[in-house]
Amino acid sequence: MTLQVSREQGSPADVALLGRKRANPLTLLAGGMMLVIAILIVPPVFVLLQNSLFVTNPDGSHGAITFEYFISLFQEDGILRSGANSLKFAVLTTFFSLVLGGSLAWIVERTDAPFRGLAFLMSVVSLGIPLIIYVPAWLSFLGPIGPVNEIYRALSGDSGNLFEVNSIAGMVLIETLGWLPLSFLLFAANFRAANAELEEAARMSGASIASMVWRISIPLAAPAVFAVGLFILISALQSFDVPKLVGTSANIKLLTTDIYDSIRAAVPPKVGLASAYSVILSIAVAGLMYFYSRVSRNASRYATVTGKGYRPRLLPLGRYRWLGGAFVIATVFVVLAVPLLSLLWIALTPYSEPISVAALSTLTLENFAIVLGSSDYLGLVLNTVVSAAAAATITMALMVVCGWLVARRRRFHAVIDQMTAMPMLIPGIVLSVAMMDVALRSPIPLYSTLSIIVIAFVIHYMPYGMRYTFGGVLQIHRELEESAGVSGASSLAVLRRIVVPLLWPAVLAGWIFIFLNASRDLSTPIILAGPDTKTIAVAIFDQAANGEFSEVAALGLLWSLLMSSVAMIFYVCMRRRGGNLFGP
Amino acid sequence: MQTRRDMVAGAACASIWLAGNRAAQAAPSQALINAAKAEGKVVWYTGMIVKQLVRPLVEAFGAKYGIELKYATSGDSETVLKLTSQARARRMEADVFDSPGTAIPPLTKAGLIEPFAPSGAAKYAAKFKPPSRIYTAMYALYLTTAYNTARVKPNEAPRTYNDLLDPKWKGRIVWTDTRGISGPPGFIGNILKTMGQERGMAYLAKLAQQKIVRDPGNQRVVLDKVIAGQFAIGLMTYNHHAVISKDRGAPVAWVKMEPLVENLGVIALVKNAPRPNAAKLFLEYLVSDEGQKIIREAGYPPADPDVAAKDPSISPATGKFSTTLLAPEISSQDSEPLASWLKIYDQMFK
Repeated sequence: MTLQVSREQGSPADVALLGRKRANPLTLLAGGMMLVIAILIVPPVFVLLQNSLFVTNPDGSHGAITFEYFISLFQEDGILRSGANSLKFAVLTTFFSLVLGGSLAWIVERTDAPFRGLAFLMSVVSLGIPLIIYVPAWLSFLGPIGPVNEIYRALSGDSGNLFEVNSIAGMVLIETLGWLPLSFLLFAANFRAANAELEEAARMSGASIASMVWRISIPLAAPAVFAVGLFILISALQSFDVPKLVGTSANIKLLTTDIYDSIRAAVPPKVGLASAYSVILSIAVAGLMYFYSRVSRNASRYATVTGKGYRPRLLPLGRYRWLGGAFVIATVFVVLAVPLLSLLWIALTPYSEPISVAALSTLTLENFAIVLGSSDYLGLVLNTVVSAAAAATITMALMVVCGWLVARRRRFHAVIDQMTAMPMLIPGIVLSVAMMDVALRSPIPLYSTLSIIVIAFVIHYMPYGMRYTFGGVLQIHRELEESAGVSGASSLAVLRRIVVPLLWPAVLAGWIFIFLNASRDLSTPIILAGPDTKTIAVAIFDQAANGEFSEVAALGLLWSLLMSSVAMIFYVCMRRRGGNLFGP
Repeated sequence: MQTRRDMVAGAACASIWLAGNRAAQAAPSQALINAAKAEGKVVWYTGMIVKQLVRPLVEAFGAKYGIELKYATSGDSETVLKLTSQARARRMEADVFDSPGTAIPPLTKAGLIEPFAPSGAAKYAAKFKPPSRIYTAMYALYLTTAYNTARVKPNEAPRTYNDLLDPKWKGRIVWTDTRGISGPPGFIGNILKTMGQERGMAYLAKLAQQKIVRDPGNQRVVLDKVIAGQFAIGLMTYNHHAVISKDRGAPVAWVKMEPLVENLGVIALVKNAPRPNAAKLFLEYLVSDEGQKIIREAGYPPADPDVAAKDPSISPATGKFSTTLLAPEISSQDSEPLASWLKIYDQMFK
């Protein structure tokens, strides 16, 4: 494979930039990248396949080769139903995330609606909230004794519920709200950079706003919609926390909850079965990924950052301005205010109480006092911040180069593209189990260290980092690099002096995205954290499972506050320097 | 284990009987203490609540012996996964682990438990220290029915298992989705053992009509949902949790629905533990009166007959209730009787 690829001639641009006979540092760089990614990806994939194909003995050793796990998978009743549920859940989530995220991004980036800055604030803050508290907050708000159903009962006199949250609809709703910020950020980046001249031309030729959106904006955004949509679809197919927390009471099973149960509810864990499950799921998702890579490749036709000035003019909404503002406010309210207030209520109650006027007198700050008074969290905070920051830094450093190589279709781009996408195929919990094995077998002591957590994070978040840098490079028009090349810059100099500086906002945006997500990630540290490497997410999970939820809510709120502040500082600094933190 | 009397109605009798034979608790030998100190630390995989139990034990043990007790939070499935993987790679990290029982059968089968009987547990009741010496109980917990006192009047609350069949509770009962003896399968086992196969199955069929809601959280989370008023009744909740919450003013009470299910909280030594002496010393400490008092302060009923529970009502001896012991040995999901109970749960209580 390697030989074949290296024999391939570079693209015309390569040739123009490099000249034919010079020793090629680009090949070295690309080859090095490929090697690094392979070292990261191959061991866990190998372990995964081994676990799915070899009998696991009671003492953990591997026995003879077997197809038993694959066969029993298809004999299990309900796999088709789980699959159908997974699909329904993922498709609906994707649809609503796209519609809501896209509309919000369009209003924020292209119109003069008021309160637009709030949407970025919302995205930043929401990425800091751990799902383990975000989901219960919604469950208590929408649950049978939450305010929604209580008010409905009071108004209608009916004794039932207006909305049954433990349903596919409830799952889709909560998952959509979880993806909305990312969908918004990805669309916002696209809209910001997209050429507005066509829209302006349409307006000047007398088109209404509606027909302009329908005939210009949407077709122009189509590649972005496809790319973002598939990204969310694949991620939603892999999501397990929302389905698990929301669906269990209604006995709704998804493929991922089945995988999760066979590892975490079964004792001893059925690693073989879960691995076989993941292999099947991976193959299904791989089909989607193939489609996705085709789509994002075509997106290069839509390069928009050129050497020319490109700041689009905002579209005046006129008398509909307030409508745009109201949409922004409503989104912020639903995505952030409702769950945070719901959590605040839980954190202020001495024990679980439904929201009511009568309960006001029992409210107390005791839970916050307990959390703030405890020094035990300090070590956990440090572990979390160090591992998340290291993971974000390493991932983005690798992905800047990979994103450029792939977007510009340089050496080994196809292989690198496939390899960096691969972790998306493996559910987080299964990746962690495989990484545990990798750590134990590694000649360098890695088991129970922060390093293995960082490595697992890098692998897990590589595709996300790639989305930021790849998308960022696509929007930098080739002409900038070509003129540098023509002026005699080497390929590496182009990368260092043209691409990286222009890509800086995308890199920072990716960094903060990975940092925030890694610091609230549960599935990785829950398997990989050792006695000295516990993280805050594990502590929150431990308490959520064992303690009263009130203190967890207080801990979660304080943690979210800390993380959001970190993100806010980045955001403000970037704005001041004229960059766009959340626009790759 | 199957021959053991199922109904331990006489925990009270047991402790009276033990009072006659009670010897003074043996202190760990100086040789063990020296060897443990040389090892310097213990690595402990625990599923116990960090804030309530783990941290106080870490502090007290460290203060007494100057040995660092390092813990990693780990549920039963992770404990089994980690220990078997470590054994396969021949890189043992853990010295001791605790479990509500479920991790014991698979790890026994894997040959990863080092039999050890701490001398301090000599005075404990027989059920807390099996002849196989594979584990020692630190405490026993009791699972029963709890209800919301703001939504259900005490005289309307269910008293017996048959009261749960009242149509007025339909859709108002919740239990955890835990697939072990401390969850619905344990409830089913208790019913079958108490009522016999035929009557028991008939009862369960009727109970299934009540449309009991499964909650993805554990027993504590279920109790919180009852306290919040989302459900009127919670099955298979721990009586000591109800007491702890009630003391904080929560509208909850537990029912002496006899027999209650009894689970053990056990601790065991890892085979080929890197620090076996420090591990043994920690086990000795846990079962000593001093260690048991920490468990008592956390609100759990200690295994030590000389250390009474903080609230006497939660213990069968002082609270006067009968129990069915579901021991760690029968907590394997892959073998009988739990496998059948799980099947009943999956088929009848969907």
